[in-house]
Amino acid sequence: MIDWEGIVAREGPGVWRRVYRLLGNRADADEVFQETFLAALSFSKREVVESWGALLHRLGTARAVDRLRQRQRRNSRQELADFDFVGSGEAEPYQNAQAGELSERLRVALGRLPERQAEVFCLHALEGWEHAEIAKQMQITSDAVGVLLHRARSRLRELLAPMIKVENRKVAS
Amino acid sequence: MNDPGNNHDLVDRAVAELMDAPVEEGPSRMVVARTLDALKKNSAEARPGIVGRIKRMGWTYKIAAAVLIGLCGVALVLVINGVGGGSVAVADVARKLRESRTLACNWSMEMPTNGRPVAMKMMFMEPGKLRVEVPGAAATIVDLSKNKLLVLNPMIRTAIAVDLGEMKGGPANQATEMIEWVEKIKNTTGEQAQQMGRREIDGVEAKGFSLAEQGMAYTVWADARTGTPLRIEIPIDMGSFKTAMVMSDLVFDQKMDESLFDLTPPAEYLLMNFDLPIFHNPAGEEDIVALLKWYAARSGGSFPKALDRWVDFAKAAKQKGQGTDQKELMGIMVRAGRATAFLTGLGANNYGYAGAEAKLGEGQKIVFWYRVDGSEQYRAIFGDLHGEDVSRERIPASVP
Repeated sequence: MIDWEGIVAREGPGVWRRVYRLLGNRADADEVFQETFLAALSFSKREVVESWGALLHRLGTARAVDRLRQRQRRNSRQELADFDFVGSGEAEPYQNAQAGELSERLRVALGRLPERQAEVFCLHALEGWEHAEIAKQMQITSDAVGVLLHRARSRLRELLAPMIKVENRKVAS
Repeated sequence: MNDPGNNHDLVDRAVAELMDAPVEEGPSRMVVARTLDALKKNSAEARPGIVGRIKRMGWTYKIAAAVLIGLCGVALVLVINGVGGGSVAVADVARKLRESRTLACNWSMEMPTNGRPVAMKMMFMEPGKLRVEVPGAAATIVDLSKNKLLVLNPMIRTAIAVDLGEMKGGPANQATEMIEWVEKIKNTTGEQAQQMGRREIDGVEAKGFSLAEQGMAYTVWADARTGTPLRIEIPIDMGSFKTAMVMSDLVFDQKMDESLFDLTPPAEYLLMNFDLPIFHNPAGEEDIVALLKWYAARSGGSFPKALDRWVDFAKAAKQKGQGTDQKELMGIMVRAGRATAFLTGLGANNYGYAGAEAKLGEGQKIVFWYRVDGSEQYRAIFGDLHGEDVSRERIPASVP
């Protein structure tokens, strides 16, 4: 019998921090928190869980990325417009960029990455996991982790690049 | 980082900003309660059973694990026999054993299936507490003061609890028998040991004593100066493979934590009161018969080519169209372990197998035969799986 109360008490706060940080709002974090533990339950029916902490953090990250992608799909038209606006000569959406917008921009960009790229990137860049640890949890090779990370960073650079143009202009002015 | 034109740094900056962003306190009690409630409901809908856990294991591994569990019981008897032999070999050795309150040792055995030695750790503590661990596979805990036994299997997060008080019959209680062996060992004087000379073990000069008792031969190596047993070697001859159990790193009177013998399974383990036949009677021919019957039923009436080819049993278990009932699966896994234990106990010269040439139902063909060491009488199992006492002349192959 799995001691869910113990696991939630032990791992819950950490899972919450991770999903909240990625999602940036309480409503989504609440839902993803619950989804994460239910996903862990499903997993435990299929495979032996070696580390609840590692599993929950990976699943939390995956579910949060999935939520970012859902947001992205919902707002795809607007988001696409935001990205394409840059350099068009019209009013820049980031001209008034304030502190915190860069992190929000990263959330949007993560939602536009392929799922596994986003997941690997988050586990590595936000959680500080080593390649080998990610490889073990995602059941892929360390080389594959490296490739996914490389692609994720490249794509993020592309997606975040419009910010630089805005900032450069702000510096120049 | 300071160059705003560097896109690479921008990714790092975005990450850093995200990491520095404030995180609201959470999760709220309501969310935790809701989550626990959802987990409870979903757990109740499809609580993972033993079959689910077993299905996650590879088939060959399942059989191997079962055999290991079976061997674990045998090993305990042999280990304790071995310790006893060591004690009777020389007075100093016997005294060490008699006066010790705890005993810990490692032991290993080469297995033919994977080419790697099976390593176990045994711990004994007065009064009547025993723990045997197969790292990553199983731990068996016996506490005679509570009359209970617990088998923990971390691979499938399963705990099997056995109340020894419910067992009937003299030799049925193997666990009790194991502990009794220890007590006997501690009070033996040792008069049948043969000197085996000297050798160095882990930098210590050791004297060897060879013993042969109750059909089992083994060698004890003890510190030549103090008489402390250092190593016990028990040869195993299964016919198709030969190996040896080696007990090493024997430590006497080591301080042991009582929790090692705690009979409460970890919270995440599925506790089963599984009626394991291994604990109710010694391994014997009925285990061979059960194994052959099961195999034949899944293989169109054929018997396995050899009794220790676990891969064939794994293939039989995977036969298309054959459902795998969890109780049946556990039962046959235990049977495989018991059969291996039975054959090990007989010794390679005391049994034979000819199942590859027979089919289920062929009542005139002997598929398996054995004799108790030293006996002139043979026991045979025929193709229809009935058993008979037979004379040596009816045995189909050359025997000693």
